[in-house]
Amino acid sequence: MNLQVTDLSKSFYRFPVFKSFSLQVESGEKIGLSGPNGSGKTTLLKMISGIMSVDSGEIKIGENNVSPDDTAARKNLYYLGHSVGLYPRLTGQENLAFISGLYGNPETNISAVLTKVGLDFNQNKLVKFYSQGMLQRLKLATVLILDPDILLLDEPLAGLDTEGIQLFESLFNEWKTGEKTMLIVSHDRHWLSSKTDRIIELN
Amino acid sequence: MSFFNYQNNLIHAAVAAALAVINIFIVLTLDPPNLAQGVFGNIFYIHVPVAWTAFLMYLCVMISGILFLTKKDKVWDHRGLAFAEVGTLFMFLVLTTGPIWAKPAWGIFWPWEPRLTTSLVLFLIFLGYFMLREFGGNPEQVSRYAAVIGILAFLDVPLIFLSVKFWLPEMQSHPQVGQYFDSANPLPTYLVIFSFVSLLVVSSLMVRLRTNILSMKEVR
Amino acid sequence: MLIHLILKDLKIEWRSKEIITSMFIFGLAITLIFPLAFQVAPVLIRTFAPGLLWVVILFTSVLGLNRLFSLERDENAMWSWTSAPVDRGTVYIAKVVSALIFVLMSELLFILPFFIFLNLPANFSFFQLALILFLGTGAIVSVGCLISGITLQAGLRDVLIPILLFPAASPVAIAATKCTGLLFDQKPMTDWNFWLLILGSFFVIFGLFGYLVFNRIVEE
Repeated sequence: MNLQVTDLSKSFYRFPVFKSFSLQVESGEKIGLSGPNGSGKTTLLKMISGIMSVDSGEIKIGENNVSPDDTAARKNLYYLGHSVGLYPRLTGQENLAFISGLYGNPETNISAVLTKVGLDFNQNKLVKFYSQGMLQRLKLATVLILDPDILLLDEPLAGLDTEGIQLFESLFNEWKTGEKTMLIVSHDRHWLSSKTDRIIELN
Repeated sequence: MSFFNYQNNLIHAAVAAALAVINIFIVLTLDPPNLAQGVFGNIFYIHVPVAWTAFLMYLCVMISGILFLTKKDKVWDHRGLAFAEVGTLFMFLVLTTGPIWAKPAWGIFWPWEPRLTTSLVLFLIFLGYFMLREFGGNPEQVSRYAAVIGILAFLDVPLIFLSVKFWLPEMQSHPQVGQYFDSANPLPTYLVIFSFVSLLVVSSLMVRLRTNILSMKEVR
Repeated sequence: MLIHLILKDLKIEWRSKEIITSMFIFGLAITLIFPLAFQVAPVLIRTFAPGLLWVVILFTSVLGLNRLFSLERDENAMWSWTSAPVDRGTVYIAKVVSALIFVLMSELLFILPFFIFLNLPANFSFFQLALILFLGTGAIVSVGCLISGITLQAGLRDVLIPILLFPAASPVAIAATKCTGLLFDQKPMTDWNFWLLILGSFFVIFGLFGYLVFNRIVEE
């Protein structure tokens, strides 16, 4: 599924972060987003995912516009942000079941997925007791459950230990084989260039 | 370029000033509609048209809010804020002239009359609106929130009015304003309408000036 | 999807019981303070009782709404549904239902102490009281959830909710107090069905408005 950003503008406290920004991402393409702090990398991903509003311009996923009134565009994407984005007072299993229900997916394979990401012993622990690495694994589990066509990854290795990084690398190879479209934000330009087809520098 | 550098704005300002002077002359010199109220009765020529103007301004806040949410054009956000500011200023005048008139006329400062009470509730909602504008955070987000509050406030008006009207019948026993629009003596009616028109010219000038200032601040 | 959203709130509350407990205890505290502060004879307390009941419900609703929406703010949990293919109006409806359940449950808990401490006779239909509580609470939470959604990402959130909610919900305060007072006076329902209509209208109008605009206010 392709992604098209046309003439995007966004300001914070009247300071423009994006001014007529355009981007075309073909289906299956892997794009890296790099740039200094405050350049708008996370903002761009949040606008594409529908979390953040757009001042003007258009974002299209396939044939659908990303807009508050239209849910179709959000069906096939998932934003893996560096904030938790999950309910601290629900367990890992319950969070996955909840998100799965929102996307209209069957809940039957949640335990298997949690085992795959190494959270089988912690699935009934409240998320507020998870470590940073465990949270990241839980978010990877969400991606496996939802299996979206478009992935928005914001610092995906943050908090992961060596095993976690290996897990991510193996999942990434699966996603690459599955022709998923990806936008990846990372400060590690060297790692980014090994994972993506091209890097866009935001400033 | 300054707002008053444009000829049509200068004409608007001149007409507003002239009408305001005539209005003040009327209020200060002519007989009140109820002679028994003495000079305080002349507040009728201010209080009623100011109240009409205030409600009209708040209606415009609602319309601006709807247009901002649907068209996403920043100018409607600026207009909404300008209408809210002018409307709240006029509503403050309503709430101050009300008790000044009520005490000598009916013996109490606050009659809990439906229109006055509706005015007070709207005024309080808009104080909250300005707090939201000031402390709500990112201006781009706050514009949307303010639009929704502006619509909510005016949607509430008929419910507030109806509930206060039938709330305490014994509180409604003071003479109603409607008696002054007596067809046997049309002069008070004409004067109130003239006063309302002149206030419309003045308030529209204020709104246009304020919208211009807000739009200039937006440009970077 | 609506069921998922409601069950999520119910599950979190079932685990902690934080919202209902805090509303119940706060309601008890206000119920204690009012008679002590007013120091009036028991027969006068009975006159004030309907109004006092709805003041308690309004204050405790603010507390409950604040906590209910704080759940979404914790760790940006709301991203789970803002980025999901969920109609945000549905999220609003789910919040109204969850808030209604929590506030009604806290009312169920403090209604008995309320009657006992104020020595109120209970010689009326409990079904009719339940109807008034349902419609009145529904009206409060319909506008309350909208305002809580607006202030979700605003600064001074704790202060803005009551500042905006109390004037906006003034028709609810009047209508609900009227219904409850007439019920306590054992008047037939035909005497207060106008006020029930006000409550029902408020619930529907602001419920519909909230459903339509919620998608515009939850984006960052």
